[in-house]
Amino acid sequence: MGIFVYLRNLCIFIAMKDNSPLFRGTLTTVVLKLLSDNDRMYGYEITRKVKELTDGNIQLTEGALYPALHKLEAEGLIEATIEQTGNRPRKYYHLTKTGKKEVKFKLADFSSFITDIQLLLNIKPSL
Amino acid sequence: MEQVNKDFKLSDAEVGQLFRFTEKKFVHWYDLQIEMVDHLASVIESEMRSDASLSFEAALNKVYKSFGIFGFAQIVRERQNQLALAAKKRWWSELRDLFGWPRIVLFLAIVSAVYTLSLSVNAGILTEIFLAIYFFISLALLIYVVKDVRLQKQLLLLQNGSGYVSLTFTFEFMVAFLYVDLSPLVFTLLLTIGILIKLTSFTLYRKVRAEAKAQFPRVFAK
Repeated sequence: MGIFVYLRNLCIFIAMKDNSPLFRGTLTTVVLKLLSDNDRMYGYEITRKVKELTDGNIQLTEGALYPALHKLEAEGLIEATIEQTGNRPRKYYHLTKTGKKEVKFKLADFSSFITDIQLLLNIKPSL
Repeated sequence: MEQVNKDFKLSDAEVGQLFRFTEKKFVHWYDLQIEMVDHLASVIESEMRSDASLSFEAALNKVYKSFGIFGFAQIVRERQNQLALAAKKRWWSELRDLFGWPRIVLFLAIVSAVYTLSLSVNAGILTEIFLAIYFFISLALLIYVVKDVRLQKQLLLLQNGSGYVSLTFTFEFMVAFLYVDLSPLVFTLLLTIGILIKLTSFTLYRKVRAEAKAQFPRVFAK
């Protein structure tokens, strides 16, 4: 059983480290989900929200977040509007119609993936 | 105890300084600059709110370090890649639209008209006419894109849309190469396709330009 505990701890450790490949793979899903819960958001707001929701365990780096946002924008899943806030322009992102559909698929996909990983690594979900 | 200033906001001059900072760090495009500046400014404001003794420069240094050793470079590179990918996808969908209903009828009508004409009139003249139309469109597109150079330097979005001029040049070389041995009819048909490809690039560039103008009126107003 030792190997499972080791793997679990490793996963938690990697997941906590910002910019890790493990988290990066899920980043687009996280961004889409946040945008579906909040009407529109800007880059810094997303990093703050992720930090707040994970009690500071996950800190998004700019080098990971902005490429992810630009990728989703290029894929047509999110759209941006520019608005003047105070003394500077701000780029707000919101989901497109396709994005709204996609977020449901991604979440369903992801939760079944988590269930599989839990089975594989013998992690009991804390309820 | 640290001083706390909950309402702290950066001044106009400091925001201007952030724009110059991104420029110095090789982010030359306004569409990317505003996002980076807003991010830097938001983090700096939050840092300086929780520690009033922190200077603007020190806060900026701290924030920039969090971008990693490559700084903005990685973000710029990935943005360019994504835009190129999106433009390619849109280009094909524009081309599909051109062949879609009801335009396909127009296309088939032109092709059959060319064929009928080639039977009755000197096909050589027809070829010349099509060649003239083709180069006129090519030239118009080139002028249209080149006159936007200033805007392309400022907007990554637009710089990317202009890349499609080069793509269609490949086709011109092909046509020029084939010109030698082709029958006038086949050549004319090839040119018709060439014209359609040119029109696709032209339509796409105009659309991208209109979108950029709606999003960044300030850059266009200058």
